[in-house]
Amino acid sequence: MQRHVRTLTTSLLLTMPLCAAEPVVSRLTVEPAAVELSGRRQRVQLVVSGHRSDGSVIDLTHQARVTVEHRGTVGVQRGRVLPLANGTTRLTISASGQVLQLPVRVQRLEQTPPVSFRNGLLASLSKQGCNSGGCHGSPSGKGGFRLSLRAFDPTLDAQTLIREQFARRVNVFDPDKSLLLRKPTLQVAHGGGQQLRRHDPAYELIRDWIADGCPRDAEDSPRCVRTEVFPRDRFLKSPAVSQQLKVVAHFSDGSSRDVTHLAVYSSSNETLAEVDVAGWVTGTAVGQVGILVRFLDQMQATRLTFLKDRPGFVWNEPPVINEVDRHTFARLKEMQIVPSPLLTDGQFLRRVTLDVTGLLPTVKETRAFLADRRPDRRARLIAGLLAGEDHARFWAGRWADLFRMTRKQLGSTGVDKFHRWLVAAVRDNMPYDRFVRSLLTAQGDTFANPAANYYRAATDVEDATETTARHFLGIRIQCAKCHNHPYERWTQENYYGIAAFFNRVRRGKPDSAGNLVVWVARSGEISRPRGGNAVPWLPLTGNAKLPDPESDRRLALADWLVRKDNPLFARVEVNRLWSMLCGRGIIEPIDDFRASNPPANPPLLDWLAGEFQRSDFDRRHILSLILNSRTYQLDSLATDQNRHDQQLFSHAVAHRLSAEQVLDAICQVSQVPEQFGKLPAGTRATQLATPEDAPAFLRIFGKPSRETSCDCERQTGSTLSQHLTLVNGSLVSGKITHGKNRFRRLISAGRGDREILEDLYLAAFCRLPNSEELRVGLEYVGGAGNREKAHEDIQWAVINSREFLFRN
Amino acid sequence: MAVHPRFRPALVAVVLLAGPGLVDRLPAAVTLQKLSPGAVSPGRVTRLTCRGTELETARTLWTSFPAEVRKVSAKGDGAGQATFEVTLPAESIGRGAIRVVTDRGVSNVRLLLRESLTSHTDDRPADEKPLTLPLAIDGSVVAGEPDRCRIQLKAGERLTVDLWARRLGSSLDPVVRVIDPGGRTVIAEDDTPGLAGDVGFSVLAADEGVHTVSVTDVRRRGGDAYRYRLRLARYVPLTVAYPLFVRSGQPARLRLLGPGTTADRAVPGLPAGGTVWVGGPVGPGGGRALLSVQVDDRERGVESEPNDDGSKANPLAAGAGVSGLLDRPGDRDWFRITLKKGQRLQLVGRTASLGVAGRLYMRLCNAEGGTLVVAPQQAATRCVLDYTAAADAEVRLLVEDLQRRGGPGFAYHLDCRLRTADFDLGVAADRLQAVAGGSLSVKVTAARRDFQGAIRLSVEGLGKNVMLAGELIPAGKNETTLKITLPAGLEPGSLASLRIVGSGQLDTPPVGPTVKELSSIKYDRGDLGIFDDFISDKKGGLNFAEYDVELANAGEYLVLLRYAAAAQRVAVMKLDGRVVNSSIMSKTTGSWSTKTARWFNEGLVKFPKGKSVLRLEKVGVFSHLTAIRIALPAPRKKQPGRVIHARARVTVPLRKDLGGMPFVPRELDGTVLLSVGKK
Amino acid sequence: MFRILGNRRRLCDGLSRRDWLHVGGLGFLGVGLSDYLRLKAAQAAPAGGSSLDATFGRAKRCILLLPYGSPPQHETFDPKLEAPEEIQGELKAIPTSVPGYAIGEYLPKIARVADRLTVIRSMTHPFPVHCTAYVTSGIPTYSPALESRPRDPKLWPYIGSVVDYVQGRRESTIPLVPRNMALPWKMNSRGGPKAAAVQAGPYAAFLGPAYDPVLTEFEGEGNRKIYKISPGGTPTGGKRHDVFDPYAGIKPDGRFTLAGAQRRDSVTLERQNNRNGLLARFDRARRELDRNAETQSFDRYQQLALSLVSTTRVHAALDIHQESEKLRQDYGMNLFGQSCLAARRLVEAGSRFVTVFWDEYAYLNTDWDTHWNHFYRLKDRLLPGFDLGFSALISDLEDRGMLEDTLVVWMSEHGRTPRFNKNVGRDHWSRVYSIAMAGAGVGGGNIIGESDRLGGDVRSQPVSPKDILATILHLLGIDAHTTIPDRQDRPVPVAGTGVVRPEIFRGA
Repeated sequence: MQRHVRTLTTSLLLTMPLCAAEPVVSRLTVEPAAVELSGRRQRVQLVVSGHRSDGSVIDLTHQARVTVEHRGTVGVQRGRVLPLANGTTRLTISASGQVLQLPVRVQRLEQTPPVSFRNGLLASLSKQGCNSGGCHGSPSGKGGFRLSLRAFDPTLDAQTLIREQFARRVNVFDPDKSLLLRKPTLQVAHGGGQQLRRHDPAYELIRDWIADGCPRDAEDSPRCVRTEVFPRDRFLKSPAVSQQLKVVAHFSDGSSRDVTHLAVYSSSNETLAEVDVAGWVTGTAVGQVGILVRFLDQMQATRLTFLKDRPGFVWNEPPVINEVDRHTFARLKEMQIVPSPLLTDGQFLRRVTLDVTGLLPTVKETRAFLADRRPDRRARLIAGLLAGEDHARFWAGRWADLFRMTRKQLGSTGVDKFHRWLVAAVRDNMPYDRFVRSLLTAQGDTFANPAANYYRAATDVEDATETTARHFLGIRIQCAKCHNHPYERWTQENYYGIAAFFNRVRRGKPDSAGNLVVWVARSGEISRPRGGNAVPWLPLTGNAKLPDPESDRRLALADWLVRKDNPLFARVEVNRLWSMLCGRGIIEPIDDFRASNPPANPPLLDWLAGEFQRSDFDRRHILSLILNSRTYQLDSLATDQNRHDQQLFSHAVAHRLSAEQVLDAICQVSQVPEQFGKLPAGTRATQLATPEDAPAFLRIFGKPSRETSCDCERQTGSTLSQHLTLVNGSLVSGKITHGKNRFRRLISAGRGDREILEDLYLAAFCRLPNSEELRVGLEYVGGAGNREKAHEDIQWAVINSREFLFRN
Repeated sequence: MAVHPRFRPALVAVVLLAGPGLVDRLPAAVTLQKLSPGAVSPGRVTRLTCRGTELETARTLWTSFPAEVRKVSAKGDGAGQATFEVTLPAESIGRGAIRVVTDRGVSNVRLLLRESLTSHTDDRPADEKPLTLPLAIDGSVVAGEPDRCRIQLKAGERLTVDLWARRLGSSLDPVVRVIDPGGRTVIAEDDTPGLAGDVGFSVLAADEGVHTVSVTDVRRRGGDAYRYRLRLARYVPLTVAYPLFVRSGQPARLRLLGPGTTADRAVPGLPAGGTVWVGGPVGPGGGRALLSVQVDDRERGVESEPNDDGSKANPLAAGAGVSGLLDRPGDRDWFRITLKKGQRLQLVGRTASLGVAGRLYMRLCNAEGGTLVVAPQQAATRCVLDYTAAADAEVRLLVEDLQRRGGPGFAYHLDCRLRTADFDLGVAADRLQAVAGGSLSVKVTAARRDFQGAIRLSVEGLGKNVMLAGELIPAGKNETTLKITLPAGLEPGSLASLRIVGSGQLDTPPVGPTVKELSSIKYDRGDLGIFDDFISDKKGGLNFAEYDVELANAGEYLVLLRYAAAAQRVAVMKLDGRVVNSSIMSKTTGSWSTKTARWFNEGLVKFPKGKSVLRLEKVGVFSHLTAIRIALPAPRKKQPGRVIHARARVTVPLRKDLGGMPFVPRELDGTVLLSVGKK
Repeated sequence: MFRILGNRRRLCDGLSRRDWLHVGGLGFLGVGLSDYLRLKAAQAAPAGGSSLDATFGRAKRCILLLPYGSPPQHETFDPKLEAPEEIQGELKAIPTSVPGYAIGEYLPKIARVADRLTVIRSMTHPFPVHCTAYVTSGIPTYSPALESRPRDPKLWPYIGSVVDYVQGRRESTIPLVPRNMALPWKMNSRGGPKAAAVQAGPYAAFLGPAYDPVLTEFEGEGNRKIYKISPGGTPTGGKRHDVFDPYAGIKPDGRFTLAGAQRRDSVTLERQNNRNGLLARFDRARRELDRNAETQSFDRYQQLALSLVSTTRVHAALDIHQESEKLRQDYGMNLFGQSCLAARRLVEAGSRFVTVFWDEYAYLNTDWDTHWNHFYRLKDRLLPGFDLGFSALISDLEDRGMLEDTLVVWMSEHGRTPRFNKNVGRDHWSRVYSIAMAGAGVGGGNIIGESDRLGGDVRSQPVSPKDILATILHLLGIDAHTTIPDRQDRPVPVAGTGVVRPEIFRGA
């Protein structure tokens, strides 16, 4: 059971006490409308909502006073109704000056049914966290006691709990003496410490299950098929800072029951809101959070948004250039966050050129753009950059990272052909559905059909399944290979359902020239670890309809992917494009689409996905929409109004240049090109086809060696060895002491120090030095004995400065 | 059983000398490195400049196609250059091979085209006026920098590009890009399916103006070895001449297929064993598609639709070949083959090696449709399916494209034959030099498939009195060095073409009258007492038994051994110290006791006249040998033993000289060129 | 359950929620008494209950001595005198300062300080394959294929990296002396052309390269010529080479430098300071950049790099020439001894976890991996070097009053076979072998576990290398159950299945 310690968070604290001018609660409502209790172990959670005159809703469950008409029928603790005796009564709920009546009926207390193994016992063990990943749910179990992770395999658990070690864990004659109870309550030494108390609902369930003789479920016993969380999505405006949740489980026999006390809750962002074991959510900062509610293998998520009127907040109506801005600013206005101002022309030029082509603009391009006065100069620049060859080569490299393009994996000719194919796909703006379809359904020679290299890099069924799910469906299906997904409703069967599309892909041996055949066998099934053959299954739709048993199943997967009603495909790609340009996805991380990880701005993501589908998956159209939007062109300098916002793009996210961009930028600023082995002179680091051509410098700065197909292999954090390389390394010192580098060429052309400094600033920062920088520079050169050495030091300082090494 | 009748090849081809030390070394290799132009025009005289080494004594050209060649002198001729005038008959088109013949020997082979497009070189001035279609460019790519050619196109004009590199033996892996006047890439094409890595496509120019066609190597390599001939014309492209094989000696009607167009072409009866080239309809201003068809002497048929499911399968007889078309995506062709128990069926499907697109998926099913065997997929271009019939049955073969593609370019050829033990022969050199009456030796290797018997080599094409030595590849061995002594009558300075053919005796000839009978040696093994059937003379180590044999006259005799063996103990037979059979006594009789001993025929051995020493040798214990008999083979007339033949191929030396070419042209393979030097 | 609090990191599958640290034990977060009692109960150890809490966090720093190649237990800590000649071989045993415990005869100095050691003779694990990564990280399963891929995603973080990561979470500042360092050079980087493929081990795996050990470089030469026989089966198989192996002895002027931080000759200290000043003024003159997590970590590492290049603190710590000639001789004028001395100076200057490799030099398998030429190597340089270096380190730490809060550990991948092979050498053996520990919280004269008569199997108290990791972490104030998120964000226990072994603290 996860123990929470209230942690001090640095972000803005929601003040708890009520403010002065407070809208009055005009009406009360309660969920459920009537309370039905049968059996003594049932509980019903009440959720009392106060509706205020300004339309907002406040949760009053924990402030309401509840009185029972016929005492002794039911008990009420913090809104939770417990049955005491058969009979009917009425509850009177009063809060904030309003009163509400609620009928209650308690019946058949004496005929309480035996505890169900799955819905009762396993649910309790999951509630108390016994079968979590760090405890008995780990692959090797703990202390010789192993349960399936979060009860995904009831038959194994039944065997362990009832039969294993001569049933010493359960004592049917004296249930309270069972090890299953004495260990977690620390009556006996327990490695995991105290995880259960006598008054916990789970205790009673476990005890009654043992007392009932540890019954297994009958074959046809009702299974939980769906859970429902109330309230679904709700905005909570200060002073509403908390919300009680209610969870109802629906079973295969049509019955339903309140399981609020047995569900497991977790918050998607602990800094914004925390949830306790009883399902009570308390907000600690402004923002939106997804609460994941898990009951056995059913998962639901509810979105709660905490708002607080910021004193002195004035919405400055920033101009809206396109729909992207409209959605972003609507959200910011709602969350009362004022966006940062627009970038200057120089900053914009540097940012967009780095993002689109990976390179710094040349001094000539910078001077031309700074002198350009045309109102649509930014749009023209964007269109020009997107149509250029540098863009195609830079963005092809990003796909190459995901498809593990190395000589070791694909052979040297294979690498060149696949790289050429990727570059052509980006240059010709190949529609994204055709791009993915030609990769997924690729067959034949990897030379004749370079797209077939997708299956040469994904060397087996698991690889192909996980790579496809991660990049084109945004789901981390690999978590469901050995057990159910911990935070989403993907089960192990779903994993093998997707794998069933790929198990017929066959790969021949490469011939002497390095060519390899990828083809699809006409038959063959993949078996599930827990028996039977997996049937091809499509997320959110069910089993796929296959035209004929010998056809290539991947076609069915590709057809489903591009359908307009597929909620994942378009969203995953537009989210990836957004993340590549803005440094962070609307859903972050970009390969983890699930209900419990909600998008920061749902309408924006939905609109972008819709626009992507309407434009027949035109990536360049989406890129130019984002680049032309004011949201993209906001300054990265946060203001006091939006410093705390990390999710809603009120200001740009500054991050260090990628390894390849750092090397190209240093070469460009020093005008000393880098030679990569036998590759033609002038090849750029950002355009290298394979890491095997990359010098050690790039590995130190985190360039991935493409061992796995995950973009996490690219280390983006700073390390000591990176800075030692910049401060004291041979590459940088070689560039600044080079005979024909930038400032030495200007010196030999007889240029003055001021001109040299201005040229250096235009090259490195796309702007002229301000008066202070100019003064510091000239003073340094004047004071130094040797003019060339002084300029070397200035070039060194610029290369090591944060503004140069960051994409601001 | 397939027997290769004697045939006379229409074409003779020869390739660079290979395998140093195997042939008495030529003073310095005569090499041909560069041809310009890259093609000779039919019906006209073409001045052909050949650059290479040791060309100062060049006399004429050897060509694989009928042509008149006249040596002319031109500026720059000498050791590094020779110039010829070549005149072709009007209808001579397609690919051909040439070599320079000098007094010092023959050069390596170079492939070129026979077509009428005007040739330009690739080192033209950059600012030169754009060219107009049709034309051809001969050039070689510089590392990392594309070769560009600017052409003037009208709006809607058709531009057909056909780039020959790999198909002419170049190492270039070409990428061709067409850029429109606005600088946008109209099309960028890498490996066109079926062209072995070369590029071919046809586009309509969207707008008027100067277009640029650029050629690069996909891996940015360059140099002389990366040469190409870029054909640019307006004809409608064709992809297949169907059927792919025609029977020699009979006229045939060919259908030339291409995207959205077909044409018919009648072909006269042709000699077997080569490739014949047919031209498509000539496009406006000249230029036409060049397609090839294979010719050989075997039964050739064509598949007949509808045969899309097992019930409508076409019958296919063993030993026959059939051409097929997968004319629409998902097209499936079924065939029926009747087999007897134990017969070993082999089906070979060919696509890319015949210059057509597609890769075959072949599956053999029983009558009810159950899968018997699926042909394995390798990167090699032939799809081979082997199956041994468990019982007399009719089996069904499914043929379809691996990726279920179909269309005008997707043809295939299927060979169906019953596999017997057989072998292939390879000769290590494609051209030799010797003096009339002199001798030379060349290495011949055998690739055995289940045939372990001795292979006897013979040489055709040099007339009768040719003396051979080392012409027997003993049983179990895989190579020999064949020494050929030329007849004295060969005219010095002439050029002869020879073929090496190997024949093997499938089953040993029946036994005739006994000539000599030797009993086994009596010996005392010490521990196990006295034996009258020889098994070994020492504990382990090399055992052998030697017998003195004296024969009235030399010749080939059968050697029979009488022995008992419960398990296989293979031994070696030597005559006068030379291995004559490396796998004898390989049979078993069910037990070691000499009561079960039987006579086994170990095959022919060539005995000299008079005395000789026959030796049986083995590491470890022998089977129980009781007697040895030497007998004359029964006269052949009554029922000749089954004999298999194979023509020595020259693939290895050819491939070494033809750069990146995945499959050697059939017409070049199999013949060695001999130039007779002056005394 | 225990977990570590971390800030929002872009781990591969970093969940958007924060991963968090909840460390049992004193000091951090003021965790209440209940956790403390739970920990005690959890161990339910037979030996003195109080030893756990008294020793938790006792060590402020640790020096890990890693002889690559697996020293033979028969000639070091577990001689078998009653075993026949072909088991024990020609080296016998001598009494030590611990009554009833005998040690290899070539370790006289260690015999004298044995009363400060804990020797564990019953180490065992199932992988006799130079698995450095297995014994120095929590990775549960192992395959030799991992050995040659130091960055394989399946590997787990080195123990030094775990210590650095946890300490990094506690104090947000980056110390001037890196916490996790390694001497004398990158493991297996000087093993000659055929260097052992074994590279995996001292790397931070999924914690990211920021937590790899900071390496030093050794500039100096060997001064004693010894001979090495290169391994059979290689082109120079069986050939005899004369080598000036620095582990056999070095010229006194040899020195250690921080890899990459040695200022270029063209940049004097004064010019470097000018540059630093220029950079600082440029940054100030420029407008304020967005202060997010990434820019802050950038600044911190830049400051550390600048200070390493300009200040002398770490260079001074590495400068062994500042020690007296006598002390340097006590440690042994060879690379292992001087590395131990430098290690002591580094921990004294503030580093928290320093690793000393006794690495292979010039030829594969020609040092501690004594498959052949066994006795010559042991008698000529291995045992004398170990004897001097290890005993001098312990005495030096004791003289400086540092021993009771500095942990010293001598351990390797595994031991060597009891029976000699045909070259009178010993092969790999992991069913039983020995290690030694001393210092903070570790018992003195504490001999744990026994092997059988031939020294081939464990007779009593088997100990797994994972237990040693758990115990080291415990002594450094990190609970063995602490978990850190792996690449797929699963909670991964830092010491794998290891459990703290209180017997090690007996007599502390």
